[in-house]
Amino acid sequence: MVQIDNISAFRSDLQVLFNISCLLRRSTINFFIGKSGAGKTTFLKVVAGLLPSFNGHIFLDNGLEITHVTAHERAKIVGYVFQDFNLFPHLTVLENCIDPLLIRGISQKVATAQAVSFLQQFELIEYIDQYPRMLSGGQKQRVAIARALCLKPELLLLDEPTASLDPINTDILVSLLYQLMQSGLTIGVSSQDMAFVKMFHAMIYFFQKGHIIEQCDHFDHGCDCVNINNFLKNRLRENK
Amino acid sequence: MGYFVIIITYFPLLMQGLLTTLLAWILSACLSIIFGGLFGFLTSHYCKNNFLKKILGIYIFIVKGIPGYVQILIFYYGIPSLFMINISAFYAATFALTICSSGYVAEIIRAGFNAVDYGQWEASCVLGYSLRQAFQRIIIPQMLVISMPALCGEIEQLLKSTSLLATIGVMELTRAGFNIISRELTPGLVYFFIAAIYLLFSFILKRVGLFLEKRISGGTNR
Repeated sequence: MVQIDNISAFRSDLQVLFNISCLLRRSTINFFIGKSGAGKTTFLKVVAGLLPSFNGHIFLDNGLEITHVTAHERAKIVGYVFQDFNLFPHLTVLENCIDPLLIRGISQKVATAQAVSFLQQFELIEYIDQYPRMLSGGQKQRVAIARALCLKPELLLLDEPTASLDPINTDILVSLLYQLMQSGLTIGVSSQDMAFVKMFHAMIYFFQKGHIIEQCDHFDHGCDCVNINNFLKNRLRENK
Repeated sequence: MGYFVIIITYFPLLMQGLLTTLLAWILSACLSIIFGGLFGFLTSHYCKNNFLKKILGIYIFIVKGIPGYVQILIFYYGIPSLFMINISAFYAATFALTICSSGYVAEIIRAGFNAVDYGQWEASCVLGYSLRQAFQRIIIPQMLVISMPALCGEIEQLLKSTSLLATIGVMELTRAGFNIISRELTPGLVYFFIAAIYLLFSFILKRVGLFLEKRISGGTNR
């Protein structure tokens, strides 16, 4: 469980998040939806420790506050998958996954075993010695997820994961996220893809201009939240 | 036949000149890579200090905008006469070349750093890399792959610029050639011989550069 309390964030003196609070329970998936520029990515970056200028608190369920722990510490708690993946282009798929372990002093053997087990689960084992540029978008994303999971985080954040995926890779991603949820991971996803969101029984937070203005936990069974439903309608119309 | 006798007779002098040339080259190359690399990093998007960026921008503009020859004259004649100090011709000229080249190296390194997406740094951060680890393992290797060809070109340019040292009386390779010719009054093959030596070292540098490029890029082939 991750408890996020009253987060306000600033980008060069401009306030972009206003008192965001939410509770991300263990083994659940949580969606942060809203138009581009609503603050979803900024919010994820604050939780991942990428934005230094913010107020508020982030707690784990054992009461541990991780608001201001070092990047080194936080990497073990929060995994982050970027919208454009940001794999390291000069390292192979396997090296991408084990390098973050090697810098922690974990032996090559242990790190490789750990990475291989994830890459096997994600059906990437035959690409293990390839460089990221040789992979498709969906494969790159799965490598990025594997890389994040190798550090055994409690919370996995994904920024717009379906933005560059075709329907088949989206289906693979959905089943993958279900597997990860069942294994006890807490997942946070920013997305505008309402068809994707609808595939989960999830907690949904609706962002507008840096505020959470609505939240809903039964969206997949039909909810009566005005803003979320309007957003859904607009999205579906745009897609047609 | 007479030309070859001249070259053989003056071979020790030519080699001494070559040694001075190489010394000036290696010294100014190392220093300009150190300073240029630092300035390049500080002006890239990985450094957020805008004040420093502005200062370095002015520095780079100035040293790139003045001919290398004029900079050598400034360091050998201008500054010593203003401050009543004495600098040897060799050090004044080598320092001037370093300053001049550091501006170009800074631009090359800055472009290299800027070509490595900022997302690489963010990815390193969320994976728990320290600042040093991120640069050592992720950002600098990628930057070098991008910058290496241009950097080798600049170092080669620097080798050729060392012939400017002749103008203030440093007995380097070109100057040694002058002296031989003024004694024997026969330009003939001497200049060709000197040109061949410069070419030889350009060639060696090129091979080293290609080797390093291959080594650094590994299998990425970007």
